[in-house]
Amino acid sequence: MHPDDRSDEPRDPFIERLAARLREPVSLSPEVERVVLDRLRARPTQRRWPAVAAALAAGIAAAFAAGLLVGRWSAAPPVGAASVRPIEFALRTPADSAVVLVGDFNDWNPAATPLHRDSDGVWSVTVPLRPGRYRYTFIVDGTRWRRDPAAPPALEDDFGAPTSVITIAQR
Amino acid sequence: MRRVIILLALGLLLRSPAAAAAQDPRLEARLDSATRARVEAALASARGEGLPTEPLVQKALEGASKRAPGPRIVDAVGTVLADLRRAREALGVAAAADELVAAAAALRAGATPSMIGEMRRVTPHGAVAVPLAVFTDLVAGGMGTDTAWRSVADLARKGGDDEAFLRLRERLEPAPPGAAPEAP
Repeated sequence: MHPDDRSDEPRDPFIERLAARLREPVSLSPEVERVVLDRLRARPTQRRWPAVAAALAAGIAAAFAAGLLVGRWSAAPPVGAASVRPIEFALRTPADSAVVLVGDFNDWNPAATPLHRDSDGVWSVTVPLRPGRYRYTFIVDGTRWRRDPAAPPALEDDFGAPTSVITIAQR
Repeated sequence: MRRVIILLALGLLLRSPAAAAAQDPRLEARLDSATRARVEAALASARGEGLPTEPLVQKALEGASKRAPGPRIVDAVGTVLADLRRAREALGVAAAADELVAAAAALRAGATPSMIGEMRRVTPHGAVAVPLAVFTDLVAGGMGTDTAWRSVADLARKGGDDEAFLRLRERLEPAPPGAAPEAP
């Protein structure tokens, strides 16, 4: 209730009638309506555009910034502050030309992580990894898929080629 | 002037992070357009539900690397998405991405949602990623589901740390050198 609305005070009948008349809708003649609308249509609107455009641009910029932040956050690794650890992958195999490592840590890209052979015939590479669970496998001579005999096999093998799993704990 | 502003606004909208995030350049380079469209639809679903998208991207890239047919890649990505949904139902909306990934794998290995919830309760600080990953590894290595779960849950109740969980895998028989299965 409004503080000035004191219903216990007597009301003046004349004021009440005047207020009722003022609340009634006013009907204008069609000619008056046409003139008013024509005047409104004739008003220049261009000057309003800079303000509208500025508001629109500000809104888009805000959405862009917010989306960018959300995108960065959602793309961040799950253990963002965790330390990266050097993990060695090794395979003893009589490869003729090359052994490469593919997995969740290098987008399964055969060109990303080649292994190097030592004098004992062991192929190896060290990859910096954050704590987490990664699936991976070796590709020997570009055609043969070999899982890591020193690591557990991946249970979720959806594509028929052997895959291993490594789990790296946080220190 | 008005047209320029409208075109500028449309351009900004089309280049917005939401639109850009819907297209992963890694997929564009490795998948055909039909497969990519369906994988990106799955990514959009995951993003909309607040689930991690990277496991889906990696599954699609794994399929591409192994030269799997497009429909098979789409199915595999859909399975990962379904697993992540089940994992979050079991762990709750506050679960971290690495926990969801580990729980999804554990569910596929035979854990039930109630088991996952129990692990959350009994593990020190509620950190379940490594215990669940180790459970999955034990099952994948040939240990029975019940035995593997009992080993992991017992260690969790004793307050074992992540390194202790990882040592549980030493119970598995190591494969002899050179005995790794090979695919042509």
